[in-house]
Amino acid sequence: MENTQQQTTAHPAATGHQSEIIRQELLAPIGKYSPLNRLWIGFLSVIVLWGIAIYARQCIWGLGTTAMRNYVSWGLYISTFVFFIGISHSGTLVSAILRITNKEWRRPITRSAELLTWVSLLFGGMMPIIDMGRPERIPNLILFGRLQSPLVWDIICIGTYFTGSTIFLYLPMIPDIAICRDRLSGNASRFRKWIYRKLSLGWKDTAANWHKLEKTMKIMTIIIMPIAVSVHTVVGYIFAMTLRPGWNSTVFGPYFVAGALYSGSAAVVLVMVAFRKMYHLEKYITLKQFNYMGQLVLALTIIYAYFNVNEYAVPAYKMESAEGFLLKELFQGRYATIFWTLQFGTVLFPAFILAFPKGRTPLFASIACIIIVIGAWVKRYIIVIPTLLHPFMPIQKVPVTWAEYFPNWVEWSITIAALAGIFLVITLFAKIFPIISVWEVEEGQEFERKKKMVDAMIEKENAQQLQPQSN
Amino acid sequence: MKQGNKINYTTGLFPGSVISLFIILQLIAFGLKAQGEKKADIRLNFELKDSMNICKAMVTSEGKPVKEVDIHFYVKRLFSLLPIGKAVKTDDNGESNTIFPLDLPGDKNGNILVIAKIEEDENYGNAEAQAEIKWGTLSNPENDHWANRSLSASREKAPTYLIVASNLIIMVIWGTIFFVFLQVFRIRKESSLIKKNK
Repeated sequence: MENTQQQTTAHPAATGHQSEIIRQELLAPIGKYSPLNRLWIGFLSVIVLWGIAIYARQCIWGLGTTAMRNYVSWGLYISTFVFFIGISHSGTLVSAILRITNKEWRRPITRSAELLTWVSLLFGGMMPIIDMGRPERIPNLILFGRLQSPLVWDIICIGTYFTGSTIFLYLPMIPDIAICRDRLSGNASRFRKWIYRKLSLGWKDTAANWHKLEKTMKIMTIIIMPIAVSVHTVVGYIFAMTLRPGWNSTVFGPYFVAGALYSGSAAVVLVMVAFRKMYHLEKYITLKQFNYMGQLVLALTIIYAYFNVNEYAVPAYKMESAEGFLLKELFQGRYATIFWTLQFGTVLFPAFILAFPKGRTPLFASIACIIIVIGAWVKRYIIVIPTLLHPFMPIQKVPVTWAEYFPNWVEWSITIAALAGIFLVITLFAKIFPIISVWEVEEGQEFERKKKMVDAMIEKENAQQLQPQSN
Repeated sequence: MKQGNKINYTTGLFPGSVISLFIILQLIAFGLKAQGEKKADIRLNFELKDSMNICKAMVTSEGKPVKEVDIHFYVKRLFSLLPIGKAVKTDDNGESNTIFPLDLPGDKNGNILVIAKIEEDENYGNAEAQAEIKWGTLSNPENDHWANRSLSASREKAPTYLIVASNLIIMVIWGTIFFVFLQVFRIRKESSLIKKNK
């Protein structure tokens, strides 16, 4: 115990006047609700409650209340599931990859990226349950599921990723929650005080505490990356391992991972823009972050475009019967407008914007990223629906109208409520916890200060060495 | 009650009356239609002619052959009915014939369940007859590798490599997660010890 007490030294970054300013500025939005905030939270809550009511109605009356029938049994819900799981890759990419490669500019954006991962996984995981129609049968997937089935792999992977993401979000929050506990408890509600007390784990800012935290963060940073890749690979496998035209592809695993990284990183840019504007964080989320994130999104968009070419050009060259019929529908038929708009409008056009330095400023980057995110959602729809409408064997003795699908108001209500739920959780989170990691920014500034000192010393030494030579 | 608040009962009852009248008329129409439909009986006969399996459906109503009625032939499969050819009309003798394929998979004894149906006929409505016949090919579960471990087998027969590999991955990942949990609890424990010592 004595040993622990001897190690009671504060984290080097947690001292100084500069730190005090950072803490004041980053903790400022917590617990404060402007009328506009209240209106926004109320608006989102109404949509979420409406969605819950409609879901209850769907549970009572069955999936027949949706537009899904025998042909399309994975409609808007599963398209949204794939989209949300894709968005959940944002945290892994920005936080884990940039952490492990020691990119200093990541510091102000890691928290929002990790939060986006956690929330989109939470709501993404709900979508297949909503699509099941009989939620009480969920335990059957584990109790009677076959290990050979990609659906069982998906449950295992998403469950693991959700647990891992929760820890990955929570670990770097511990010192910040302790700061909130020590500085904000005076004015906070009893609920918030309780949250700070419980979640800070009695954090004492000791060297031993920091050592354990850094060790666990390092482990989680390494382990979360293969878990994240496995999740979207398995989501891809769910489609690729089903005998359907359009899904019979060996690149579906990496294609889905690339698509997830592309949409997820674009979503991070949008969250950055929103928080920067709402909480006046221009000093922390700077043009540098937008420039680097813009470059990252651009690189991922190009990789995604490359996968798109592979995904469609190879089967299009062969035009094998059932596959060919589906591809004709996509290239020239009823989905042609959406398909080509997606390829040119939501992949190549945003890449064009982001290719220029001016395109990576907050305004233009947000325009490009909105297009990417909407495009990614519609793309999931295009992957799921046309294939289901073109099975190898036609489904017999069903009304002709069942061979058409467009989501009805029940599906839109529940899906939009899920989206509103994501916004609501993010908004409430930012009112309880700092949305920018305080200690990481402090550490970054300390690192910058020391780097400048070292640079100045080296420069001074160089100058001294050069002086006698010139003399 | 004020005069202005009076309810106009005549107007209020009007839609209800119309709906009730409509329902009654529909019930009468349905009853008349049902009364107009005759009952048809189907009898199935099987015959092997020139190495062809021919199924004959004989349709009678009130003891008389029924002409010009569509007969649909099916074979029962695991989840649904497999149609055999298109519907065939009965001839003057009330007979309808169709040729069955020779390679239909049957059960372990080679039996298949043949079904003949009249579907939504305007005079006879729906009628059905079914019979079992040894026209299927033998399917032996033992030969289908059901007893072996494979990706298409039941959950108890999952391939060993899959069980070992997946459990190994799950154990490594979840083992690491539990280790992280342990470290987090140690942070709490250390902090509480510092507090006590103070």
